Amino acid sequence: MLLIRHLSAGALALALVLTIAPDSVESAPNGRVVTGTVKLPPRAQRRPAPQRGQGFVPRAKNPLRPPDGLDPRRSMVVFLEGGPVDDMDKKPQSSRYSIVGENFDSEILPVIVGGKVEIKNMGRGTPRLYSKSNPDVMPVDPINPKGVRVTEAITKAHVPVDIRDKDSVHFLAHIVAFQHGYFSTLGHDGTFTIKGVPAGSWKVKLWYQDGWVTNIPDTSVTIAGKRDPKAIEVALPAKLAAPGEAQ
Amino acid sequence: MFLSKIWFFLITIVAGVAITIALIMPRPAERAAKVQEDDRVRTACLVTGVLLRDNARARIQLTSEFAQAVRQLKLSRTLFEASKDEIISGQANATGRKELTTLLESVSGTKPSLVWLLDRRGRVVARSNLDDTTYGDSVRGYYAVQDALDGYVRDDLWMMDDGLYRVAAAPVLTQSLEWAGAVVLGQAMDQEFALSLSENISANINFYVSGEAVAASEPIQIHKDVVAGSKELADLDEGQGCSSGTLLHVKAGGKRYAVVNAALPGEAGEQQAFYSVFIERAKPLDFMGMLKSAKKDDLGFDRFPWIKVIGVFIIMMVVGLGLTLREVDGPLKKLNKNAVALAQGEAERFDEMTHRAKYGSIARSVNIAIDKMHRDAKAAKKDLDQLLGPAPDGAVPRAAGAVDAGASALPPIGPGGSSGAAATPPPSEFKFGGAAAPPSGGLGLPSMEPTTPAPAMPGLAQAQKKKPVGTPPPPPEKTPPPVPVRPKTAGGIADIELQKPTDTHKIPDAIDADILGDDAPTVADDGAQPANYFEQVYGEFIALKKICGEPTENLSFERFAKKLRKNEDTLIAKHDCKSVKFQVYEKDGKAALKASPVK
Repeated sequence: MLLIRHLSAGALALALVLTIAPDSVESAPNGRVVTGTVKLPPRAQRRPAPQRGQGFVPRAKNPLRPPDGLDPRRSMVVFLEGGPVDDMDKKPQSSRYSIVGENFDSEILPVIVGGKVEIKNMGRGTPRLYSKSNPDVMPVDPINPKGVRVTEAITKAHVPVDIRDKDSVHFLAHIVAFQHGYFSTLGHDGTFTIKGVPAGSWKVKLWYQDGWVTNIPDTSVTIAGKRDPKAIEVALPAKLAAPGEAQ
Repeated sequence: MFLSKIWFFLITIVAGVAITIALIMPRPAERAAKVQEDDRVRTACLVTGVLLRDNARARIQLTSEFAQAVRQLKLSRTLFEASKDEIISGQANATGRKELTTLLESVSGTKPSLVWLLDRRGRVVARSNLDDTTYGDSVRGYYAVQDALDGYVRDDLWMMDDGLYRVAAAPVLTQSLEWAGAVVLGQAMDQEFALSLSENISANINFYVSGEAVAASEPIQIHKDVVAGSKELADLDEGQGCSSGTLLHVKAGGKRYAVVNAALPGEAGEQQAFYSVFIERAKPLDFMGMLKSAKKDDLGFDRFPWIKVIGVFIIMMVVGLGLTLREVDGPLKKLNKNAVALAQGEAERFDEMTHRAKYGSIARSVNIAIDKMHRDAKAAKKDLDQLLGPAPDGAVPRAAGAVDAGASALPPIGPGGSSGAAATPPPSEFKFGGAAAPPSGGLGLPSMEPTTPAPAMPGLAQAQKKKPVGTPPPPPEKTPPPVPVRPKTAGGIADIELQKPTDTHKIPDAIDADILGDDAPTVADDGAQPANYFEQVYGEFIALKKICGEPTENLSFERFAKKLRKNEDTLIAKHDCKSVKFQVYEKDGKAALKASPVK
């Protein structure tokens, strides 16, 4: 019994290895790789992390070290806009979204318009997923451990589809569709990688959970030749509003 | 009687008010008890909130200390290193579990139901006390875990698979104050906890999540009503349930409960978690219920105003008795005394002026009855006059002390009516006299003084000496008495007059003997005169009328005998005599009759 539990824990860890890496889609083979980092503003300029829910008493700061403040990168998608888009990169692809415990492996999942999402339950619970914004995207029935549920095609670009659990308040994720596949989620350190980007001039945009981040400096990347462009840095503005908050 | 009636009315009103108060009083008392119960259950609810907050603070404190202890050990470094790896290694889990077990042994008192050690990404490195063999899964989704990973210390309520948990989370830092992860401590909100709270608040408490009871201090089945009444919590501000929420009244097992609900905070609160505090309600009070609930001490002198109650009772009784004595017993006694005097002949009628109200009315009614009797007697005499014809004036003077049966000189009816002077009766009046007559004052009638002296009859004085009153009359003498000439009448019987002595009130028996003679028919045993006696009187009467030159054609024996019999019956009834003797004599030149009661 103990062996089985250890094996299951190992399988879960392997799944995490496969799913925690930043999301990007397979792009044109002749394209280049765009890498970069989304940097947070200095700690003093950050907004405090939003408090969601409250217990009997308000939360208190840790006395040993002040909190770092809001880190929105877990809910961000880097998107390249403006360059020539290969038709192959507009083709809808199936994406996998893994449940790794009390939430998905990332807080946001970018997909190409028309693509479907395969939701796999890698956790121990049996969530009953549903979408408040798009109720028809999936049936509301429990997903057993290791079970898979495939959503309907996400057909509207830039319209986030929320995914929730009927039995858990904190369970929340978003699926956002873009016109092509030149996008990537961010790692826990803010890094990203977009492969197969065709040559051209691309504007770097940031999608933050349910909308574009507008108050960032214009950042663009130009791809020419056979060499990958230099890693780019995108600095997040200070006082970036948390999802649902006014900026 | 007026004041007595007023008093009785007042007593009735007081009694009615007292009964009304006695019946109404339980309701205010019940309302007051209900208000107290409501206050009590709301207070218990508020105290529960305070206790839960205190408990949360204590739990946060414990978690912070626990995190500090993790920092002091190598465990914080284990968490820090695990955060760099893509997976949680078995080695990290084993180290974590070992250190965690050591830490838990140092915790005094109630051990946490769950302890989680998390790396910076929110993945479970080690669990203890609950599901402690699994690791690697992410629990970052929990709000408290996110806050702890962001550097905050906080508490929360989680609804997990096996129940409701009070949790607290705190960040774990390395010795060099780098973020290493977080620690989560949880305590089940189970029956044991509910019982502990219940003892502190002196009320029962239940916990609910998503409409289901998850913990209860007492197994009382009020859940359905409580859950139905919890809908309003969504519309109330946080923490307002105890003070502003509707107080529910539910029944279960034949008992009534006062229930108030209050929302629980945290993630469970967003899943409609709440707690309900309830107490058993006192039984509704009614009048009998209040009496039953009264204790012996309630009637003690120090609690019950016995002196005032007894004083009021005595005052009411004395006033009532006084008014009764003044308005009922006193006048009744006076009326009784007056009636006794009337019966004993000491008075002739009630003195209406001395009696008031109803008693005066009684006196007047009795006086009216007396007057009516007199009028009836007079009417009877008039009938006789019509039969016998009017008697000549002054034929037989009224004797002193004689009673005029048809007294027309009665006092006028009504209070204050003065008795007028007795009018002189006509000569044909039917008169009684002698010992057989009732006493003049027997009916309260005034004595009638004779207006003219009665004529002396031959042999009257001698007869009175010879015979006692009431003995049968002696046989009449052979020779008729001297008959004065009398003017003719229209015919019929001129007069029937009671024999009256001239100088005494005795009936002159000698006259009877003179008139009827020794061969007069004897009186039958039943007192009625034999028929031949009336024939004899009739013969004598016709003979005397003829002598007096009066017509006799219209006077038949039947009519004569009928009249005599009627008068005989009347006299016997009135004087309780054995029989009546009729005597024929000449009066003012006319034939006349005298009637003498025979004892």
